Order: sequence, then C-alpha cells, then structure tokens
Amino acid sequence: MPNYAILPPFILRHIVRAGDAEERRRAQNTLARDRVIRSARMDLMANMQDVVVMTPPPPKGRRGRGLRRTIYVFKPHSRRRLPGQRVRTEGKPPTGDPAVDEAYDGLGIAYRFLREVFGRHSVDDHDLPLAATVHYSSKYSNAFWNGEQMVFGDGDLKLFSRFTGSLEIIGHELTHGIMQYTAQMNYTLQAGAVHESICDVMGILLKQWSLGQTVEASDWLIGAGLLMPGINGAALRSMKAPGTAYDDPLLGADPQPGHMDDFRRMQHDNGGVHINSGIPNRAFYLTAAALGGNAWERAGKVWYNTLCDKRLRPHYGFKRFARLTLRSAAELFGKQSIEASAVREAWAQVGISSLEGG
Amino acid sequence: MRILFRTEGGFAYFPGLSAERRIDADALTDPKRRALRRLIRQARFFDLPERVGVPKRCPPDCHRYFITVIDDEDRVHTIMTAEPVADSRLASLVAYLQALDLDDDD
Ligand SMILES: [Zn+2]
Repeated sequence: MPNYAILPPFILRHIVRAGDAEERRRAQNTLARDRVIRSARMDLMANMQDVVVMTPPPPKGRRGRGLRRTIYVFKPHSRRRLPGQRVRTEGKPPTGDPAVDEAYDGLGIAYRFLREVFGRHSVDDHDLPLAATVHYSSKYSNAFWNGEQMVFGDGDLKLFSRFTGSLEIIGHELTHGIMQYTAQMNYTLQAGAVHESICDVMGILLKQWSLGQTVEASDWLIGAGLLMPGINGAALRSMKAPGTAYDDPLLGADPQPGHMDDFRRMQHDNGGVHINSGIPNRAFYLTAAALGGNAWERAGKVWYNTLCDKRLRPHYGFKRFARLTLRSAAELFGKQSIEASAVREAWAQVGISSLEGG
Repeated sequence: MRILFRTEGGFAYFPGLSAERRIDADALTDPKRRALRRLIRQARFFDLPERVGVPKRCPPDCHRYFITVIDDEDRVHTIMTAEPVADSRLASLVAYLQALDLDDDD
C-alpha cells in the first residue's frame, strides 16, 4: 500500500480516475487535504515576501489621558465577539475573579513600566487605552494580541494554568501591540523570531522591574508557573538557557536553540518564530549578564531603542537586527563603551559576529 | 467516521502538541461519539468553505486549526480556521476536539 500522503498530486489524480474504490477514496482524501495545507503554506510564503514597509498606523490614543484599563470577560455562548462583557474599568475595585484582577493589575504595572523606564505612553505612545479579555473560549491554552487588545485563556488545567498568571506573558502580548505601532516586524522566519524575541525581552524586563530583580536574581523564564503540577518543566521558554524550559512526555522537549549552529529551518510555527527566538533571547540575556545590575537600565534601553529605531525594517533577520542593537548601544553609551562591547560579545557568543559596517 | 485535527501557532511551540491528532469515532465511547457527530452536523462541516475566517496575516501568537472529517460514506472535507473562531458552532467543534486531545482514556 503506497503512502498516499507523499504521492505527487498528478499520481493522486490518476488514482482518482483509474483506481479502485478504496484507492480512489484515499487519493481524494489526500488531494483535498493538500489543497488546504497548500493554501496555508501560500499564506506563509506571501507573508515572507511581504517586505514592504508599511507606515505604522497613527496613534489611536490621546496623549495625557494616562492609564485607562478595561477588562472584559468572554461570553462563549452568546455573541462570540471580542472584546466581550465589560467587568472592570479604571479605578474600580477588585472583582474577586483572579483572571480579571491579574489582567487589570498586570496592565497597570506594564503601563508604569513603559512610562517610567522608557518614557513611553502606553502601546501607541499616545496613551492608548489598554483592553484585555479574559476567560477566552473554554479551557483555552493560549494568549494573543488581536491587533487591538490582549486575549487570555484560562488554560486547560491539565497542561497549562491561567495565562494571566505570568506577568511576562502580559508584557509579551502588550509588546506585540507596541511592535504594531513601531517596527511592524514581519511574523515569519528570522524576522518573526526577532519579533517574538523582542516581546520576550520586554516581558522579562517587566517582570524584573516589578520585582526589583537584578540580572542575577531573575530566573529569565517566560511563562514561569504556567505549567501545571506534574508537567516536567519550569516554563515555556528560558532566555538564559534556551532548550531547557521543559522536557515532558506530553509536551515534548523544549526545541529552542541558543546558538546559530542549532538554527531550525521549518514550516511550522510561521517558520519557527517561537523556536529560533531562543537565539536573540540568549543574546539579550548575555548582554544583560555582562553588564550586571538591573537589565532594564542598560541592556533594556539598547533593545527598546532598537525596536523604536526607524532603521529597523520589517524583514530584518538576526544579523541586521544585531547590527542595529550595536548602533543603539554606541549611540546611547558611546562607541567604546562597555555596553557596546557587551552587545558585540553577546551576539558573537550566539554565533552572530562581524556586526561593524554593513 | 474519522477526524484529523492539527493546531498551528500559539504563544509557544510544543513538539508534543504540534502533531496531527487522528480521532477514530469508532474508538470513542458512545456518548463522546454521539457528541462529536452532533457537533459536526451542527457546524454543517461539509458545507463549510476551505477557509473559515482566516485572515491573510494571522495575529501574533494566534492559533490556526486544520480539521479533516472523513464520514461513513467516505466523504472527505478539510477546512482551515483561525482564532478567534467567530462561528459559534464551529468554535464548539474546535473546543470539543481540543478537549478530546487532553483525554487519555479513549
Ligand atoms: Zn508572541
């Protein structure tokens, strides 16, 4: 019996015409599925070629209005529309629903972090009101930014707990929003992995800042505490040691590389955006570790400056992003500064060197 | 009836969760099989277009789902959809398939 999944379409079409009933059925199944999978692959390729620089959308907020949060609860059985039912607005007391209150508090910390550390006024730098929907869908194990707001699931409670429970995840999703108003990085292949990494960097900085943690004190984990008891893992990703966050019979082993030698080429995950992000994640960790102290004060400033840099283009991969971080370090701290050499050395340690020039 | 279900994308990539899941309705318990058939019927699965609410650019960290159903008459249909799944009946089917994914006992 041939493996229908790997037969070329012209042979499958021949079988559909000439085969017996069983052969015909199998060939038709495979052809139909292939069409859909091809359509998904074409999306990926279209996004890959999509290197046109779009001007960021104009800010939607009004500068000076300050922090304004709204938390919504998803209503799966009525209208499945985001944002859902409004349950807590700015200044209102806790509701007693942990997901609602975690999202509310997390957005508040994130707003103050952006304002105090980077002088940024919310996601669009114009005090865009912050909206989040919690209890999304049912037993939903994910969080995402839909272009306007954050969305958090409660987790399936077998593998994952509530996604609002990790401040770095709130920071990560918020940063997808910031990227929309700044660099607009692509979301495929290396550029997508840079995009993902920037979100992890901002997420971990938010957590460290809120806890007053130095480089040495931080666990450098993304999604710490998110895995349920019994799952063999500490988190979803480790920025300090990519590839070591989990190793579990159900989840598999953390596939993140920490060096270009282990770079993964793949079609899944938009070309491995959540996998290869381990490489720039580790470059950030190494920069921060070399400088010591509070990561948001120096390494964080370099990375934030880079993500706001007009020279950062949506399709830039690791090397061109790395070059811009080095330029940022030189502009902020001086060409001969220890910050600039920490950045250069960190990228070299993950296999990205010769950053001068270009 | 058989169902193939694969989830793509999301906040993190897990090797153990990224494989296509094959669900043989005959191997399920009676109540689960009935529920699954009902959800597929209610979603009008075989009348759905191949892409249901999938934007050209999916938002960051968003899930996309690939579902193939092969019914008892050997009709086969594959669709792709993406979170947020606006069609509540299709969303119920997706949620059910996700929950089945978690069960060890079938
Ligand atoms: Zn992300």
